[in-house]
Amino acid sequence: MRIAIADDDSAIVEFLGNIVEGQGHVFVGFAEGNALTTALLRDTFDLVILDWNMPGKTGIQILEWMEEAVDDRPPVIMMTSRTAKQDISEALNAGADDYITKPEDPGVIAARINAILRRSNGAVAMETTAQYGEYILDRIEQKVRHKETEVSLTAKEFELTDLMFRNRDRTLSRRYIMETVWRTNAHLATRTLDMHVSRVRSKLSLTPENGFRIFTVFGYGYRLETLSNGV
Amino acid sequence: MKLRRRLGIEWAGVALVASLVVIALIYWNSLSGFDNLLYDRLSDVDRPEASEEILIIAIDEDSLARFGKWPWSRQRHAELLDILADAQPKAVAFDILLSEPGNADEDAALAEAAAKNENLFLPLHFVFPGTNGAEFDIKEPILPLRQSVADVGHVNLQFDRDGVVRRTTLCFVGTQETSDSKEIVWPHLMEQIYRSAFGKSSAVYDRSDNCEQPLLMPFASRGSFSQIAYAAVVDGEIPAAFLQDKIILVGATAQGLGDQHPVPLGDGGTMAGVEIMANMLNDIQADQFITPASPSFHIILSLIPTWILLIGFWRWRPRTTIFVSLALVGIIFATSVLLLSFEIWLAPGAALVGLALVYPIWGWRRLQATSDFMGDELKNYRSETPDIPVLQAPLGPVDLVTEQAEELAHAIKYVRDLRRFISDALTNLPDPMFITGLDGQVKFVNKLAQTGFEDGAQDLALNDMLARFVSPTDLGDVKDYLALDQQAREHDYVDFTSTSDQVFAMRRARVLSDEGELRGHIHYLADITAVANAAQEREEVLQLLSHDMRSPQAAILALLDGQDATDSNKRIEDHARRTLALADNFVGLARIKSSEFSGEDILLSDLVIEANDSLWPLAKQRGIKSRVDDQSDGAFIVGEPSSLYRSFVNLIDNAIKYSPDNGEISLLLRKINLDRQPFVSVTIADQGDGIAADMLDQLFERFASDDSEAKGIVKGAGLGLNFVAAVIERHGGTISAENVRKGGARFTILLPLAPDPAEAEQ
Repeated sequence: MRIAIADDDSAIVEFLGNIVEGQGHVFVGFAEGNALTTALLRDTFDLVILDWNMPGKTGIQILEWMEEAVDDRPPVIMMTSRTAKQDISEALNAGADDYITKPEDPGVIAARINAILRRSNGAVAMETTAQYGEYILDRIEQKVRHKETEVSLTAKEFELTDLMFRNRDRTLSRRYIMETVWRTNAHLATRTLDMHVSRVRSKLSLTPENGFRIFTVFGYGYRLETLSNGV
Repeated sequence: MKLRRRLGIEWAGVALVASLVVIALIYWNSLSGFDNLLYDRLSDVDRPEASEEILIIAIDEDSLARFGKWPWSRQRHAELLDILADAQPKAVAFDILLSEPGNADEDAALAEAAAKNENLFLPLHFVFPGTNGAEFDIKEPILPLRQSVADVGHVNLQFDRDGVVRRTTLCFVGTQETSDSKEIVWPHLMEQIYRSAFGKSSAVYDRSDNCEQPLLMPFASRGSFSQIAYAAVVDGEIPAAFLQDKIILVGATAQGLGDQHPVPLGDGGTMAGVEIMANMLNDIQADQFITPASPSFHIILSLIPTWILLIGFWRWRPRTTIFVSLALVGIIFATSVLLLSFEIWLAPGAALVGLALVYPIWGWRRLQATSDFMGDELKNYRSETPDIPVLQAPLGPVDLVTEQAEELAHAIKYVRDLRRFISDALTNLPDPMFITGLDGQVKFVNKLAQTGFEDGAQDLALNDMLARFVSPTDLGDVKDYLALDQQAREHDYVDFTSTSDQVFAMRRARVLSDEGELRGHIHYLADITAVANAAQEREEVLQLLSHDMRSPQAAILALLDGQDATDSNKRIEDHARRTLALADNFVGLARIKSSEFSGEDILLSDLVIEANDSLWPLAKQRGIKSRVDDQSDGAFIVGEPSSLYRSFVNLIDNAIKYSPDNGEISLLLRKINLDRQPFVSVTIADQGDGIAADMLDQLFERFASDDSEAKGIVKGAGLGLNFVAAVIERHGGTISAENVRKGGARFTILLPLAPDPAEAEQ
């Protein structure tokens, strides 16, 4: 895969480049916004990793420009030092496919990049059973087994679990989850989703010890993270 | 309102007094003088014709001259009666009172002569009051005479208060002591004559329920009735044919005989009793009596004009009232005249007095009420604003009302000056402001708010004014603010950028009337361009700080990645991470202090779990077990997730730092009630050395850091706990720290539970 990495700090570009290459991809680094937009018009990339604060054009400006100017634009991961909740939701709502705050663990970054690439290469065929770490999902019986123990889940809880595992390391918006699992965008009480996530977390023991954690992106949604340095 | 009530009371008083006066005047017939005068004038217009059937045989001056002085011998009367008996008249009324017995032979002769007449009637007199306490005495003709005539009839005259004979009654009803107290009806002599002449009782007698009711007699002109001298008849000068079929009234007309009475003929003259009786008979025959209106009918009709005027006082201007009053006077007279032509007499005096009374009394009371009201108002006005110069020297001696009016004019002038002063003061106010009425129109704009309008904004619709003044992007916010329920958000304000790029905070206050009714709004604009710019700059600085402080640290950590994990590299990484935390806490703290709280529903247990998860790699490095025991049963709080998350990260990070290797950290969430308020408590306990006693008090103050650990490897940024304390306080919660007896520090956080949405809906 070809990945564009835009950051005015060469140390970061190099750091990300190492991670990407470690996953078997190639990358092109950009230190300036306009250089990236020029390249995006002439070249094809499978993924763009964007810094927010860059000379020339800011990450958000590039994002907006891509929505307008590039047909079949590649997925974008915003990677920035900005940590404010408003910044994160602004970037995600502007069209970014994921948002990573610096600094972040290389393993997490790799997993997130793979999650985005996985999705953009088309949905993985739905197997009747799937294994994620020590979790085995039986999609026919709608059951989850963890370390040989069967975990009892309700139908919605299973759907939510399935959705999160299939999209692991990817930030899902609350709206997306509600529409997919509850098949409604109506005014489902916001607490309903919070409570389901909470129950799935505790029933499946989705803790770092077990190699997963659920991460809430405030004001936006949830992400199931796989931890490379887990058990 | 006060004046209205007072006037209402006065009006009722005037109405009552006027009505009572009218009723009393009618009841006591006090205006008979005026009413009679008017009646005499009116009846003079149309006098009745005298009936030719009626013939008066008068004992006149000529007869006295022939037969000598009165009283005559009764033989003379016998002669007359003999002649009359032969002449066969229809009826004869012999109106000469013969109540004392005279010469017995003469009396017998008279009785004999009388008996020859078939229809001779004699008079009967009542004398009031009677002797020995009787109501009256009856003077009857002497018995032999009485027995030889057809019947008797009373001849008492009715004198009005002015002594004039206008009325008569058709009968007299009385009880006679001798006849076992039974009511006896004595018809009038003329009624008797009529019955005798026409064989039936008169129409007017039949019609009236009460024959005693006085009736007004229309009088024919003096001397209308045929009259011949007594002497001429007795001396045989009158042919019998002349007397035949006549109704003959015999009576005295000579002045000297005293039977002369004042009559309403307008000449002040008198009339002989017999001629009065002729008039009465004439009226009976022609059925032309005039009936006086009954008292109740009289009262009602007399009150109508007064009440028309009384009611009109509320509606009409004084000038209209004058014209209406004059018209009513005319109508009263016209009504009387009209009714008279229908033989009903309505005395107009009382109605006229009512009108004449009500107008000036009401004028007086109204003026009095108004004057008292003005006096009170002026007194209030003076006491409320004692600094007003009271009009000291009136312009010469004037009456009270004029003085009050002058003072009122003075007060109005003062108020006008005051208004002008206020208007000037508002116009030159240092901040822009404008006033709107309830109709959404701008009523007043001061000088500063007017800048930017070429043609002023007075009387502009509020929306048009806003469209010119507020930048389009903020227009919606401003309109939303103005649409809000006023009472709910009285002291709130809205920020907006003007079309000229100034930033204003707009606040509005209600304009209330003295009675507390909403009249409009005052809108104050404060130019906060400088403040807004400063806030904007601060936010930019914070963002810059955050980003620019974090970026190099992120770069350092990126550079270290892939390097050998040497001891110095580890220390560099540790420092970089601490700098990052410091920057986050610093910026977070600065934001908290400069921004408003805006919370959302947060499931606290998951937030704590995620904060704990994020520090798992750190804990794992040192073999520390950090567990969350959630007994909060899905407790939601209202909070700002980022800062709360960061707070718990800080607290758990601290606990890890101060824990011994392979130690345990316990996090416990529970729902508790304090003073019936539901809270969620979070306790974080470690197994470290605890907090130094002298640090406990100032743990959450800025830059406090546990010095006892300064020599150790781990050293926290003092901002961490300070940030936590600020965040918890901001959420309406509390945080406390203590040392546990078996070792280690324990932090307890209490956060108020969010209201249950299901309950909130109920």
